[in-house]
Amino acid sequence: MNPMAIEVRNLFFSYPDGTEALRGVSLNIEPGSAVALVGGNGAGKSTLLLHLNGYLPVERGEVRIGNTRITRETAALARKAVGMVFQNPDDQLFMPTVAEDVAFGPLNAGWPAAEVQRQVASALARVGMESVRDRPPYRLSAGEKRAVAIATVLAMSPDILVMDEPSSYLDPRARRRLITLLRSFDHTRIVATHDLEMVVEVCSRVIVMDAGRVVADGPVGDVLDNEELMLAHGLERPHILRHHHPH
Amino acid sequence: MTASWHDLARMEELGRMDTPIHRLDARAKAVVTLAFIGVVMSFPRLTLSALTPLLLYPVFLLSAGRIPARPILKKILVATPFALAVGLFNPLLDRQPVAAIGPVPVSGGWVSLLSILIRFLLTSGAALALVACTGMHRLGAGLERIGVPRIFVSQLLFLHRYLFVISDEAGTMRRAVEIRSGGNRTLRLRGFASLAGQLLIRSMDRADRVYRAMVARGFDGQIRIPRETAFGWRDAAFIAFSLAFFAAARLWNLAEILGRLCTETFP
Repeated sequence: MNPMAIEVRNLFFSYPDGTEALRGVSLNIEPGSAVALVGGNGAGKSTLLLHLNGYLPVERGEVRIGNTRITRETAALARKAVGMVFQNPDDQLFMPTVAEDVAFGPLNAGWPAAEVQRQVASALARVGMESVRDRPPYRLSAGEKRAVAIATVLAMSPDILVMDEPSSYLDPRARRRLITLLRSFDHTRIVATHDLEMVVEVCSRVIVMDAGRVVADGPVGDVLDNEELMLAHGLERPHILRHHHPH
Repeated sequence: MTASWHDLARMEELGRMDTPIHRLDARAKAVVTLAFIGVVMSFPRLTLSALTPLLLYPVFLLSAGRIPARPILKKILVATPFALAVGLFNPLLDRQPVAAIGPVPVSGGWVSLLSILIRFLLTSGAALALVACTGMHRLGAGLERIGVPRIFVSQLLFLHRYLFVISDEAGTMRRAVEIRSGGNRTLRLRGFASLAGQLLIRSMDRADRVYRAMVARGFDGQIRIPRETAFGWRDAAFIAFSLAFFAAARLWNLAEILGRLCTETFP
């Protein structure tokens, strides 16, 4: 794993029904940093994420992963570098057992069987899910499913982790485990979320999106603590920042 | 609908068990099952007793694979109306008596309807036994290694995967309807039409998200499975014995021979 930079330059995207989801997004993300992408529903977060691994074609503008510009030809390379954890683990887990699901990516990458087994074991160990390796994914709890979904992506040794609402569906304890896990990674991380309390604990930088544009970009403390800015874009200043007791 | 989801999940679990039958190579089981279906279909229209010994094959697979009979029988029962529909008019079309039970003459139509039902029981039993003893993914990978075009195999596996998706969505929607219908479980036609449309759209959206997640993990159209089984002497023996048995059952009426043996030995 070799944390990579992400560069998005003046990116536009419209869906076939005419919805303008992205209207000139530009951002730079440094290798190894943890960045939160926040914004109300329909702000364009998920659309932006789907560009980072080449799932949606770049219509206008430019996306670079490391030194590679994403095009139709390089999309496969981008998918190797960018591990994407989707919002609903049920969409992501579909093989008969957890171990087979985690092996799905490495097998597609064409690695030898022994290497695949090693990757599966180490990815499951990394998220603390060795004990469920032979169980069917749909029998797991929401927290276990999330952890396994992260393992399926870790097993492919991505350089960048992109997550869409990783704390959704989780109970407090599972959420706490997730936060600890996310903090322990060295990858370049992008987390799209409404869970601003989690952002404060996991990320160092926040990018705020609204109506397909980046409206704020800066250190977590500065951006999330700006009540006026938060309210103007359908967000809230997180409680965790309200109760500072300087001694 | 939630029940059907449960059934699908149960088939998956059965496919993951570890018995001598499960350990057989998926290719061997697929080839033998195809041969079995071919043999069953090749019997003349009015065959009854000669078909019955073939029941041994699915029964053997299920018992040696330690598959409980109930879920399999339930699935066969669900599909029976389709088989009935195929032969339903035979008794009306063909009234030529071909046999008699005591004083009652039995027409060719009734015999052929019964024959269709027996064939249906045999073939669907064998196909379900194949899936239950192999698991859909291993079966798919096996079919691909036999040389079935990749596109058909992916179609089959996606169909299977999306069945889960659709029944899942349908279960959620049914709950939503039940909660708001005040205990009245029947739906008016208009309500049903919009529900069916909703189900289609939701399933398509969900299918798109599933596909997206697969592409994100490098899916390129080929299904790869971790445990590729090797084709060994057990598989060869399984194929040889099964085919020999099918051939014998096709050439001779084993039921009749057995009956004659019994009556001649113990007169």
